[in-house]
Amino acid sequence: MAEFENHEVLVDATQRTYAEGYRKLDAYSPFPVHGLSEALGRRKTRVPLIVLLGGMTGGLGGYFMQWYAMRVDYPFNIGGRPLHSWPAFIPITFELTILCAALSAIIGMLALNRLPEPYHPVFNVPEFRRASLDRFFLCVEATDPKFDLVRTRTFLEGLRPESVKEVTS
Amino acid sequence: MADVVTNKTISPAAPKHAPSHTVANIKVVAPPAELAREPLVGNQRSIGWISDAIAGVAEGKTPMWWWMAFVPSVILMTTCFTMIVYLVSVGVGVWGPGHPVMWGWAIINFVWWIGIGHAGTLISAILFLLRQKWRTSINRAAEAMTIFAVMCAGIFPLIHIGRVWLGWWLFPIPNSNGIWPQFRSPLMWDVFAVSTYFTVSLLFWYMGLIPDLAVMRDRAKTTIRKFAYGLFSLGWTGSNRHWSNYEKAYLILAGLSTPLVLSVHSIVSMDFSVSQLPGWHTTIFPPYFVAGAVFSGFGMVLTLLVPLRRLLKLEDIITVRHVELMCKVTLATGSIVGYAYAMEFFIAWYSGNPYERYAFINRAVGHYAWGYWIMIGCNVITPQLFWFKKIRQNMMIVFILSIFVNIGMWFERFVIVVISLHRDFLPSNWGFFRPTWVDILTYLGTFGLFFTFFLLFLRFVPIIAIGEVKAVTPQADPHHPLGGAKEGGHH
Amino acid sequence: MNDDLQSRLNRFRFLALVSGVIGIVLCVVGAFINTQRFFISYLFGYLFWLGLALGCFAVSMIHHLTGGRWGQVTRRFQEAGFMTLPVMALLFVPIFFGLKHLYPWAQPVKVAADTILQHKHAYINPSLFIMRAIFFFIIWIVMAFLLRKWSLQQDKTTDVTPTRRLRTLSGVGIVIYALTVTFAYIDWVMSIEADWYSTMFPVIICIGQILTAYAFSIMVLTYFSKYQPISETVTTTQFHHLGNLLLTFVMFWTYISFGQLLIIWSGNLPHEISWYLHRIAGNWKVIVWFLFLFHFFLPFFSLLFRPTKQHPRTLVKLAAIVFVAHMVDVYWMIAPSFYPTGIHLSWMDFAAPIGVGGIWIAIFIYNLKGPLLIPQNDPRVEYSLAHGK
Repeated sequence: MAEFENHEVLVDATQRTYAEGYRKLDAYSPFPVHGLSEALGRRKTRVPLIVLLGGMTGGLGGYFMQWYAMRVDYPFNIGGRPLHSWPAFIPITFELTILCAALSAIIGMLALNRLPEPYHPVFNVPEFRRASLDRFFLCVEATDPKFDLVRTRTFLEGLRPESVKEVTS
Repeated sequence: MADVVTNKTISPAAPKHAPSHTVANIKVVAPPAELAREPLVGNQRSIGWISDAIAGVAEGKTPMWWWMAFVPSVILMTTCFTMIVYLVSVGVGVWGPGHPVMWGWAIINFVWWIGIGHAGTLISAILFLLRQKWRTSINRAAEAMTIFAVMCAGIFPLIHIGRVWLGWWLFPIPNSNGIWPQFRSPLMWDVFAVSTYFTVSLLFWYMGLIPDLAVMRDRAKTTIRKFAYGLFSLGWTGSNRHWSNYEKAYLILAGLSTPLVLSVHSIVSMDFSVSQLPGWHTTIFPPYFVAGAVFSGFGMVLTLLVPLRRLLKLEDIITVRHVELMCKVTLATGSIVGYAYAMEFFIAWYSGNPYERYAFINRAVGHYAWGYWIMIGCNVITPQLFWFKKIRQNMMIVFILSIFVNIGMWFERFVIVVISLHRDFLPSNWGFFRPTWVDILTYLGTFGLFFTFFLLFLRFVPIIAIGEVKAVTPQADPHHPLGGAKEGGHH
Repeated sequence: MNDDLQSRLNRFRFLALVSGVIGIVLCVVGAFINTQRFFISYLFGYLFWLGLALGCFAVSMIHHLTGGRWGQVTRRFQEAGFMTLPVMALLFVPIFFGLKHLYPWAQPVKVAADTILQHKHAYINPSLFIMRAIFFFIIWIVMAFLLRKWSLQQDKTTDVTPTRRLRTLSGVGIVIYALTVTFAYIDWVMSIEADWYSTMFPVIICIGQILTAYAFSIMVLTYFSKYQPISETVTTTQFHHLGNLLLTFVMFWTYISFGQLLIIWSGNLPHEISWYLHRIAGNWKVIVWFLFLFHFFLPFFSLLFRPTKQHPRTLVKLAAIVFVAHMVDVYWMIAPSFYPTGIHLSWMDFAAPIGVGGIWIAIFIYNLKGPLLIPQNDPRVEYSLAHGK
């Protein structure tokens, strides 16, 4: 794992590492750095799809619930309004769409990030504490087919890092 | 059309700061002083300083003023709970409402608090979508304010039902009598709107907090703090995978929250406007309530942040420019509210409906005219002072005017609820409304609840989004004329 | 502006002018065949294009206040759009002669039978109607000239005074815009139905105007982005922003339109609900479905997705759909009051918008040809260009 001083060096280093053939990489930064996903060769996130499905479930389910309750299960004349009063059903349908979409957004985000995850090997590096403050890290995982403790280390040291550390698990 | 896009970078998933499309031969000039945007972080502070300054608020020794504010807040909060216990054990008769003013302070306070709760999510969501970077210094505190205000608001509908243990009848669970809640009633829409709003605001706020809780975890000195912040930061590492899913989810939540904010107060307004009562039944209510809510919300944010930036020595992060921008939003929404008042009045006359006309004339010259004119004074005249830069930049005046806004918006709801109800269609149905001491103490008590939570938030949570502020410093922005020059290369 | 574009625009302007004149001539003929029918169609065609001019007026002021890169490449289109106002004021004159064909308050028989009309008579009567219309047009034209003048002045100087003036004028101007449009459209449209009233209605009008102006700006920008100098400046980001703005106003339109419907539907008061009853009667329902699909459903769900907004070719289609849908919306606001049982189309319903629109577009192109297509020396523009906002 290599430590860098700012995000531009990090992006540059990541691009070079990826070009070198390493694939099991991850980069750590205190704020989102743009261009990193591309440098890491990542696909687009699937959060939007999850939200879309969640929102549709909420909306259709919400409308169906009201229609079923007011029209089928408990028909009741209120002020002469039709049993199936679609304009009056829109507000709740809307709220439930938003609620379900928002819940799927946050749950989807956590699930895709495998959070909560109380233990992660990178925390074993003392310097990593600064990853949330003002330092930028690039980690090559040992499971990468191209990984070799010595060669990878030498390679990382050629990328102008502040330091290179080994992550114990 | 492909030739339009060639040679231009197609923006990657970059909601916050789209990379600059460096167009050929455009010279980068700093704007002339008077049109220059003030830097969002004053005095060219470094990103390390930001972490220290913000996290320091929650890490340092508890200052004296904090205790001086906290103790009375807790006492008030206790009063609130005592009043609730009293209300529940005796019955809703201890409150003022009665024939013909069947809705009293409870709904006024509910609408008032929930209106205040609109600024937080609005600041967070809409300003995020509009890429208004100035939001970063104030959104966290404003979101917290939203949540606490919605809590205060939620108390009133919950306890006004009297038999609170039957509150679950409001939820769409078929109960033992096989009866469903009445989905055609705006009061049911309210239940869904407010609970959705509370849930989503809480999630939005918490989600924004996760990376900052990781900062707190990594700075923590004691084991307890380490454990607590570690627990709530969920193991956040700041890896690219985390950030990219996180950013997308945050963008989507912002996108979802924006219509949600609009819908909540629109639905609250429909509690009134779908009825047939003159003064309540008017079509402009939804946008007018939303504008009023944003107006009062920004009023409350100013009331809180103007003294706080001084007390917490955060003047370089919550700058005068932030205050000025909030004043401008207050001016804009205050003008919309003024427009709505004028329209209601005009259309009441134009409609030719004698009841409509009477309702509005009665507001202006009737028994409760004083309430109406307080409302006009505070909501129509006060914000117009924000046209002047001198006033926007004078913190003392801004603070005082923001309190007027809060008062004015309470009276707006008073005018709508009490004045409209106290003169019914038939003169035999006319009456007055007088609040009881329980009404007054419950309302004051909610301030205790609000401030207790807000003060706890100040002590234990980073009150400003640390990661986001870092991203808006000139140093972090390679496209800013003042920053990013160190590494060159990138552009 | 290069020669290719120049000659295309000249051709375009000629075509617009010809179809405008033909449309107007047909309208004049129609006026002799069926006078009332002519005025209904003319009011519809006229108000749609006036709405576009006023929308351009509002959008350019919004841009002066908020800045943003989208405005820098579209501002000259909006200016050319609102500079049609002097001619639009002239085109309003025919309506003065059709008051008794259009408005119940101008028909003494109806006024004598309706107490509400008698009550309103002090405010809404032919002479005050004409005076107010003249007053509104004077305000709009004066402000339009100032906005245009200072904007062009800034092209020639690096001194920031014009920009500062524009900002101040726009702050006050947007308030004036809201108030004048409100009272103008109460006179011109709301009062067509004798007893109807709605406080939301003027807001719906304003949002509709701004929405059309954005749709129009997107269409013109896409066309111009093939040519110098716009092709050098425009990027996907600007289309993306304009797409977001279009989405926002589609949402606003839906929100306030539905809000008005829900409140009036729930109240179900005779003087209010009649407006909707006229507008869903018979085959007017087809129009309601059309508006639902093309003024809301299709643009809304398509614009939610990022790629739609970043590809000018898809975006321009949606903008065109919104533009046409809004034209139908304006028709739906006016015509059902006269035909409360179902659609009653006339050939003049096409001749009038083509006639007014042809003239409008001819003037629009004429206004584009003088100044530079990209405003120069705007201190915020250079900053924002460099800053990627």
